[in-house]
Amino acid sequence: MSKEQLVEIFFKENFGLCIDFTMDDRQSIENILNKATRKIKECYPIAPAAVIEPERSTFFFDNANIKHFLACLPDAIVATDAAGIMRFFSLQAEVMFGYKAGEVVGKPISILMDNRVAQYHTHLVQRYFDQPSTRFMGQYNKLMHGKRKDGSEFPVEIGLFRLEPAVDGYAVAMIRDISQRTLLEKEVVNRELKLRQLTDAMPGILYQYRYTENGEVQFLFVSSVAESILGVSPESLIRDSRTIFSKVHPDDRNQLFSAIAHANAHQTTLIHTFRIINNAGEIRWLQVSSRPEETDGETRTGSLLDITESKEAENKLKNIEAFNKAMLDTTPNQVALVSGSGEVLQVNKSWLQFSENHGITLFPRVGVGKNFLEACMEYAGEDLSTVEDVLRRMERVSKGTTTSEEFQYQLLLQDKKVSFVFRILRVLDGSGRLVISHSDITNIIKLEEESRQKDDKYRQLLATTDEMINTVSKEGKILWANTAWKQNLQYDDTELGNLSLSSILSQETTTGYEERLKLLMAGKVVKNIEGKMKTKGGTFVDVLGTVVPLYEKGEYVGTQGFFRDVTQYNKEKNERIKANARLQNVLEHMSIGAIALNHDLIIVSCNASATGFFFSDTESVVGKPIGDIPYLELNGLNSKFRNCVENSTFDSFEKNFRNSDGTGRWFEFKINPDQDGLFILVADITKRKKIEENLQKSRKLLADAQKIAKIGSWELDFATGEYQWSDEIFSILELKRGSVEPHYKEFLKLVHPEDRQGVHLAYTKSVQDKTVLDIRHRLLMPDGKIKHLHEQVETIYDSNQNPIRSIGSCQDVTSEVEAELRLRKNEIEYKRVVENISDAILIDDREGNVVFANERFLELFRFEREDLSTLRMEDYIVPESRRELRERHDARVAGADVETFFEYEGLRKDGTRVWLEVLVCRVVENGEITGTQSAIRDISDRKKAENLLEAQNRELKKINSELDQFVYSISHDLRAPLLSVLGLVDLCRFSQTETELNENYDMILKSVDRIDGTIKEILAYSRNTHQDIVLQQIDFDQELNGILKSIRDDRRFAYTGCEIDISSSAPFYSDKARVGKVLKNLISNAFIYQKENSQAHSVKISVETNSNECLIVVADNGEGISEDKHEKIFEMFYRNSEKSEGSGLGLYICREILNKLGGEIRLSSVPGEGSTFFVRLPNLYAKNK
Amino acid sequence: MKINRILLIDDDEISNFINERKLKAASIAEKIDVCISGIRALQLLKDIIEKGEIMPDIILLDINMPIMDGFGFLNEFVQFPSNHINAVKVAMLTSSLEKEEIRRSYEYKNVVDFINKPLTSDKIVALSRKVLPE
Repeated sequence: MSKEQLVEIFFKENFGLCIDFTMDDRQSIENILNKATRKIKECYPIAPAAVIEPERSTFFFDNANIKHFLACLPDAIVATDAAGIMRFFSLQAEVMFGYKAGEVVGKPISILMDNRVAQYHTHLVQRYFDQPSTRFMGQYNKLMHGKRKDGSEFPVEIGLFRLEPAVDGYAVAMIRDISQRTLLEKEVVNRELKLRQLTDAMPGILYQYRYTENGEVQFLFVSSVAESILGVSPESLIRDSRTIFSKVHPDDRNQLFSAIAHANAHQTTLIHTFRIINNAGEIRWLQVSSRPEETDGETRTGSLLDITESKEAENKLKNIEAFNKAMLDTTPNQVALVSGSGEVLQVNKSWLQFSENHGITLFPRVGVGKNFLEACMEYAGEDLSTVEDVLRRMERVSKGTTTSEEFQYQLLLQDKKVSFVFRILRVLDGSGRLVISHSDITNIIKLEEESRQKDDKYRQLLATTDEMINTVSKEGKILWANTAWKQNLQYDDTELGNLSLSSILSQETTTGYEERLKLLMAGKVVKNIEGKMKTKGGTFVDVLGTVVPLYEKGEYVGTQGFFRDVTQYNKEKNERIKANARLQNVLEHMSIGAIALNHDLIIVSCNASATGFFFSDTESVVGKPIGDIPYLELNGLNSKFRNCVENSTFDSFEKNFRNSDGTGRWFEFKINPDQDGLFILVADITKRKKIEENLQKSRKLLADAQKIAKIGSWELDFATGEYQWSDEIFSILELKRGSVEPHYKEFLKLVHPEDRQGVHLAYTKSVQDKTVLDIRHRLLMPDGKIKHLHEQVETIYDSNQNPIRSIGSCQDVTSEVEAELRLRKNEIEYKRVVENISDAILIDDREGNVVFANERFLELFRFEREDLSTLRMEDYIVPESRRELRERHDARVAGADVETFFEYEGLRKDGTRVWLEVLVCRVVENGEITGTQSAIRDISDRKKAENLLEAQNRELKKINSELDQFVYSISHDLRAPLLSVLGLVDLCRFSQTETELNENYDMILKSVDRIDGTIKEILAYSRNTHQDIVLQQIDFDQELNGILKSIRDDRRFAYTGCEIDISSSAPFYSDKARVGKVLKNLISNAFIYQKENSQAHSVKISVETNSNECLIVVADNGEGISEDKHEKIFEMFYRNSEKSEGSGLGLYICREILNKLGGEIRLSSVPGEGSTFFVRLPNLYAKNK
Repeated sequence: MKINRILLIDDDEISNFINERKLKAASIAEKIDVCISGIRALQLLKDIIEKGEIMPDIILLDINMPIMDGFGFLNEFVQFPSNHINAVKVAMLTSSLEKEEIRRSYEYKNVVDFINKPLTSDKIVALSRKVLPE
C-alpha cells in the first residue's frame, strides 16, 4: 500500500471521514493532506493541528505496518506535544475514553485524567520533557485513573515514552484499562480475609495435614483457634505436630494413632473422640474428623472440636434420668408417661400398685405397653362422662391447645369417698408425649375444710370482738383489720390496702418501735404496748395492746396486733388522778392541819399545816408514835387519842398550847376514827379566841369609855312617862343621883336659855317626823359656866306609829368646841400672817397641783386667784427647769432628802421670767406627806447684780486671753526678725564675697525694718488705747499727699500712681493722728496687695466731708479678700496674704481707732477683682466747740 | 550619706534666705526646695507625687504663717496617700517657745523634731542624725 493510501485509510478510520481523493490528490501527500484538512475543517470547526500539519505527522506513517500495529494494540495510545496538547488519539483510546479523536486532539491531555492529577499535570509535563525517559505508571499501589467523557473514572496503567528521534517533544502514552484486574485482585483479598474470619469463628480447629512417609503428621494449615483449645499456637503446630500428641491422654493415645493410621491407609474419613490434658491440667474431650482431599490423597483436611461440654452434659443427663426415675418411684402420686395416642410408655411404682389394687374407671389396670385411653373406655361404665372429659382434656393437651389440664373427681374406694386430682402435662420436647398424674387429695380437702371452718369462726370472733386486731406484713403494710379496728380508726376495707403502719402510728408510739420490732422478729410477743393510733380524721385513739409475730413456714412474715381502745379509760384515769391530786393539794395546803395515825398511834402522814403547828418537819415525824412527839405528850393528848382509837369514838375539843415564852395558841381538834386508825383535823383558832376575848373586854370598856368620853344615855318611856338617866347624865348635868328625879323638865332647865326653845322644838319635831335627832346646844350651869352638848335621840314606835320610847345619848363636847374655837382664831391669825408676809407662800399636793397660794404669790406671778384651781407647778416654772424641779418635788413627797433651799427662774402668767429663791418643806398631815409648802422670794435684783458680775468676769477673762495672744504674737513678731538678724550675722561671718555680704546686709536691714514696723504698730495701738482724743481740723488733701509721698519713698512699695477725689462741704474735725494712721494703713494695703503680674494696678481714694460726717473710700483692683475673711482681717494679728509682711495689727488698730472716734469701717471685696474699704467718721466739730 | 531632698516652708523670706544658706553650707542635702506658704508647699508635694519624683526626706516647717499655719499644713499633709508620706520626717522650725505648740506638733506622727530659730549648723547636724539611719 502506498503512503497516500495509508493516509486515506487513516483519515477514514480515525476521523470517520470519507474523503474522495482524486488521482491528482493521490500524487502527493501534500495534496491529500490539504484536501483532508479542508474536509476536516468543514466537519470540525476546530481542527487538530497535528493532523493538518503534514510535516509533523509524517512520522506516523513512515512504517507501513504501523497502522496495523496501532490498531491491534490492546492499549490506547495518546501522543502529546511538549505543551501537553494531544496530537494523536488512537482507536483504542476512543473506545477506552469515549471521546472521538476529533473531539480531543488539540486539547490538553489532562482532560483524560482524574481531577486529582489533572490539576497539576502541566507541571508534570514540563518535568517530563526536561528529563524524558520511558517509564511505567499506575503500578505498585500508585493507582492512576483515567477519566471517560461521561466523567466516570477507571484504573489505568500507563507506559510513557518519547518518540525517537525526538520530534518536537512528542510524547506517547500507552494506556491500559486495568479495571477488571483490579476487581479480581480485590475479590481474592476479600475471600482470603473471609476464610480467616470464618475459621477463626469456628468452634473447632480447622486444619490441613499430610501424612509423611515416615508415618508422621505434618500440618499445613491450622486455624488460630488452636491457641485457645489446645494452648498451642498454630505456628508451633505447623513446625512440629508432636506438640499436640504429647497432650493426648495416655489412655487414649494408642487408639488415636491407630485410628489415624487406619483412616490414612484406607483413604476413609476419620472421626475419633479422645481426651487431652490441657495446660491447666484439665481433661478436655476432643473430637477429630478429617477426610482426604479429592485432588491429593496425601493431604487431609479436617476439624478438631472441643466436645468436653457436650460430653459432660451427656453424663449429667444420664444421672438426671436415673434420679428422675428414683424420684418418680418414691412419690405416692401415680405418674405415667403416655404417647400422644395414649400408649403407656412408662409408669412409676405407685401407678403400678394403684392400678393393681383399684383398677377402675379412670384408673384402669394399665401398665407399660397398654393404651391408657382404650383402657379408660373399657372401664368407663357409669362414669362415661368423666372419662370422656378426661379424654377430651388429654386431646387438648396433646394437640397443644393447652399445656396442662387439672381437675378433681371423687371415687368410692372400699366405701370411702376419695378425692383425686388428675393432672395432664405435655412433655415439651415436641414428641407429643404426655405425663399424667393422679393424686389422692382426700386428706388435704378435709384439712382445708376444717381449716376454713376454723378460720371462719376465728374471723367471726375477731369481727365481733371489741378488741382492735390487725395483721401487718413485715414491710409494715396493714393486711387485715377487724371491724372494731376499722371503726375506731375510721377506715373501710377498700382503704386498708393502701394503709401502712407508719400512717396510723403517732409520733409517741413510733418511739420504741425499732426495739419492739427487734423483739418481734426474734419471735417474742410484745405486751402492754401503750400508745396512740391516728385515725383517718387525724384524731388519736389511746390504745393498749399486745403484738404477736406471725410465722409462715418458719419465716417471719409480719405481726398481729391486739389492741384495746383505752381513750375513755385514760381520760377517766387522768381525771381521777387530777381530782386526787387536787384533793391532795387541798389537803396539803389547807390551813387546817391534818394528821393520819394508824391503830398504834403512829403518824402515817401529816400535811404542811400540821407540820407547821407542831413539828419541825414532816419527814422526821412520819413513822413515829405520836406520843413520842414531846409537844403533844406534854399536853396530855395521847390518852385522848388512845381513847378514841380504842373505842372508835369521835372527839372534838379546844386546847390552848402555851409556849415557854408565855405566848399561847389555841387549837381545835377533831378526831375521827376510821378503818386505818385516826384522822385528826386541827384548826388554829388563836385569832378567833382572841376576838372572843376582845369582845368581852370591849363590853367592859364601853362603860369605862362612856365615862371617859363624857357620854351619858337616857330613856323615856312614853307609856309611863318615866325617865332613866345614866350616871354620866347626872355628872354632865352636875346633879346628884337622888337629889332630883330624872325628868325632861330638869334637863330643859339647864339648857342655855338661848337654845332652850330650839332644843325642845327639834326634839318634838323629831318625834313627830320619826327622824333621828342630832343636835348641839349649850347648857348654862347655875354657876354661869357654859357647857356644850352633843345630843342624839332616837324614838321607837309601836305598830300604830305611836311613840313608845325615846333613847338618847348626850356627850359633853365643851372642851372640843372650845378647842375648835381656839383653832379658828389661830387660823385667822395665821392667815393674816401668811397674807401679809413679804414672801409668796404656796402649798401644793403630792402631784404638784396648787392647793393654796397667798396674795403675794398672785402678785409675784401675776395670776388671778381663780387661776389657782387649775395651777400646776409647770405653770410657774420656766420650761428648761420644769423637769428638774418636778423630779425634786416627786422625790420630796416620796420622803427623800432633797434640797430645800434653792434658786430657780419662775415664769409669770404674762410669760416674763423672774429669778426666785425658795424654801420648801413637806406638809405632813396625820403622818402622811400630802404635799409641800414653799416660801418664794423674788431675787431678780440680786440676780441682775450677779449676772453683771459674771459678764464682767467673762470680759476680764477674754481680755486676759487677748493679752496672752498679744504677748505671744508680739514676742513672735519681734523675735522672728531678731533671730533672722542673728542668723544673718552668722552668715556674714562665713560669707566670702562682697556680693554675698551686701546681700546679707540688705537682709539685716529688712529685718530691722520689720522690727521697727512692729514696734511702731504696737505704739500706735498703745497710743490709741491710752491717749486722749485730740480734736483738730483735718485737711485730707494735705494728709493724703503726705501718706502717698511716704509710700512713694518707701522702697518696699511698688507705687503705681493713685486717683484722689476730695469734696468737702464743711470743716472736718477729728483726731488727726488717729485718722492719719487709718488712712496710712488702708492706702499702704491698697499698694501692697497687688495682683501678681498685674498690668494696671490702680488705687482710687475718695473723701467726702460734710458737717455731720466724713466718708472715705479706698479702692484697689488687687488680689481681693474672700468673703469668709471679711471679719477676720480685723482681728488682732490676723494676716491674710503671703504678701503680708507686717504684724497683722494694721486693720485691727484701724478698727480700734474708729471705735474710739465713733466711726465705722467695712469693706466689699471679690477675690481676684479687688477690695474697697469704706470708712465713716463723725465730724466732731461740735465737740470741739 | 546625704539627705536627698529638704523642703523648707516659711513665710518669712529672710528666714528662708538664711536657712537655705545654712543648709547649703552644711551640705547635707542634694536638693533644697523653699516654699513661702503651706499652700504652695502642698502644691509642690502634689506635683512631686504626680511626676513620681522623690519626696523630700525632711520638711522644715514654720508654725506662724498667714492664711495657713504650720498645723493647717500638717492637717492637709497627713491626708496624702500614706505610702508617699510615711517616710517623710517633719521638723517644726519656729521662733515659738509655747509648750502647747510643742505638744500639738508631736501629735503628728511625721513630726520628729521641734527646732527653735535660728537654725544653726549644730541643729542641722543633730536633725540629720535623727533622720538618717546610722
